[in-house]
Amino acid sequence: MSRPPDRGVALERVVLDSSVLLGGYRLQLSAGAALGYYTVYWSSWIVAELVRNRTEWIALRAVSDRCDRAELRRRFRESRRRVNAVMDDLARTLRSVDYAQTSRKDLNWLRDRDDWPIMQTALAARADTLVTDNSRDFPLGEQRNGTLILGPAEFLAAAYAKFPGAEAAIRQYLQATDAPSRAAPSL
Amino acid sequence: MPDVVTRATLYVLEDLAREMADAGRPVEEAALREVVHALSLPARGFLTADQAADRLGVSMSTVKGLIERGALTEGPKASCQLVASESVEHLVCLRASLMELDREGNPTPEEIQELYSPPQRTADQGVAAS
Repeated sequence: MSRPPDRGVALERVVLDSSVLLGGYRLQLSAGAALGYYTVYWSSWIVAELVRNRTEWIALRAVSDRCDRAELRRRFRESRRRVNAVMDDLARTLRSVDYAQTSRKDLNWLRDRDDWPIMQTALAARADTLVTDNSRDFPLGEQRNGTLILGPAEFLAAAYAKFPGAEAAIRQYLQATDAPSRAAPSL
Repeated sequence: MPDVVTRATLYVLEDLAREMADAGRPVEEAALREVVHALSLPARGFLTADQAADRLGVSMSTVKGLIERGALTEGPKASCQLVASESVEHLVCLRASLMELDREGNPTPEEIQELYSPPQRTADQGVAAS
């Protein structure tokens, strides 16, 4: 658990790492952006990493479930449909920046070079906050390159404290689900 | 006779409804508001704040917050409290697709750490690299 952020942090220009878009906080984090509490930026690197890791997870789960080839193909097909729908809707909500246009200097504190484009996305977006689940490589609760790095739970707690009513509005929005006919069979 | 009601006409009707309210004529005010409501159906590109709240399944105060923060696109005249139906539908679709992906399941925190761990060099790779 990282330290709670200072009160002075803007929490306005936010980059969501693919690790948090992949996990269970995706709903609340995306809803907060859609409802206009903060602006979320992403990049082609984050999109690619998200889709690749989601697909890899589907495959790993199928292996552990001892699925045959036909079942694996069915799961991939279902997943592709769902991922395509989310990506299309998120593309209308999140703002895209070109991470490759930023400098790589001062990124040596990141051991894994695959993490550099994440920080470059934050730099390109002039983000005040980067939200990530990758606590091994990113020091949660600390500032790097002018960007505060937070875990998803800490970010949401800070956002709810900063924007009164945000938690209730997000909950209300997410609870008002659509007709059951839109539900998809689980894997 | 034109079969399209322009936004300007809707605003004139809204203004008239307010004038009726100011003049203490509630029956006329209600009638005019009913007409505005009927004419600003989604097919015409706008919803009233009430209709947007119904469609999204949220309260009126939430809709007002969405308008203030720009998450819903306002009609050209703020006092009419009309919002673009496209912006409402976007929020409805986003919620549906997020929920559907959630129903498929999500990696656990441990699985995420595993997915993001750097690739381990195998013994074969070690031999090949040396």
